[in-house]
Amino acid sequence: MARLQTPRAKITGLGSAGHGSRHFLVQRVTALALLILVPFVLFQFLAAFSSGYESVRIWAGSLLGTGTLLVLLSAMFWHLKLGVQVVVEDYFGGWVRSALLLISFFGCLAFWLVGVLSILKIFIEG
Amino acid sequence: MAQLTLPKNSKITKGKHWPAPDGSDPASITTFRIYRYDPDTGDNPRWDLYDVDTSKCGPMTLHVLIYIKDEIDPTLSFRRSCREGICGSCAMNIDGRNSIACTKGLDELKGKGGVISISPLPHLSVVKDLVPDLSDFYAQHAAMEPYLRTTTPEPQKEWRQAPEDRDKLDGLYECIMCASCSTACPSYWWNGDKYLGPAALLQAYRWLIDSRDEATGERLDALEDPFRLYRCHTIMNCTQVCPKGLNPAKAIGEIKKMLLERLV
Repeated sequence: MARLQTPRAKITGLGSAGHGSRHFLVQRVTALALLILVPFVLFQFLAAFSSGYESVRIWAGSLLGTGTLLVLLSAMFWHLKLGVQVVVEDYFGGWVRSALLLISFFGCLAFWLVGVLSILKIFIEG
Repeated sequence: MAQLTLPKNSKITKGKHWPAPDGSDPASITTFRIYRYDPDTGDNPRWDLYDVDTSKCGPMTLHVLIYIKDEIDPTLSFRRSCREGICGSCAMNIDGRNSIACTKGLDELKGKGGVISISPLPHLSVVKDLVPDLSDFYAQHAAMEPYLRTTTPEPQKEWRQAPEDRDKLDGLYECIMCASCSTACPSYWWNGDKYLGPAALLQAYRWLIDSRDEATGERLDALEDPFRLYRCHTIMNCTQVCPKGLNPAKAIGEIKKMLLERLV
């Protein structure tokens, strides 16, 4: 049976969640970071590639290279997680929404972790 | 939640054709394809075709609808009142774009294959023919508490406002609540139960920016929500279709700016 509810009760629902602005802010800050970091890292990689694999490894293992790559990976996967969350919330509902949000969160976390450990490995091995 | 196909009972079938009377001038005949739905019959909605001699009616879309109702088919239902773009009653989807029929000139309509389609505002329940159910839309507006909220004792005369603060309400107070913007918004289509929609948010901003209002913080608290406000992805359909030339997308952007100002 359909739930008998006034339109006002339906619209008010459970009330305001009390968050959303931080998500909006972080999504834009990470986008800005990516706008700067992606061309910078691409440029560094292309410059290093011309001298072969070893020079890329040396750049990635340097303090600047490791730092830049760690920030890039963090900004990228954080931005991805926030972006996918918006798409999932837009188009899915119920348990599918919850499941996809969990999958996207843990997926991004796993890929971020693998990336970070790989970069640290290069940094530690020199 | 996104719903990309129509439910079985909403699939539109082919309807009747109402030809122009014999002896009409073919040059002034325009065919209108109008969405028809009667809940009493239990039938699916249908497209009826009306050949209208536009030389016999006024220059606006509403004139055509009134002509059809008066002269061709009195069973056609639609809302109308002021016929001058003030009441917002006659909002509908005309030639693929939401607008109000009373200010939409026939000369503005391009049509498809010489046929101009008219249907109710999209993604709302249909009461009958071109009449949509706006109950939720009005509830969203009411939830914005569209009136002055104060705790200071009321002054003996009026709540005073500087002219420059009054100017900030221009482009906001003119909204006629026709629902063209909200029902043109994909975010509102998919999440209209939680997302407030451009019309309600424009009204929310109208009261947030009012220098006399004392409930700005509480109003912002009510909007701080991933669905109520942040479902707006600046698609801009709202601004594109507004028959009054208002800019709800900008108002929503300003609300987001106010919330960020509070945050950082």
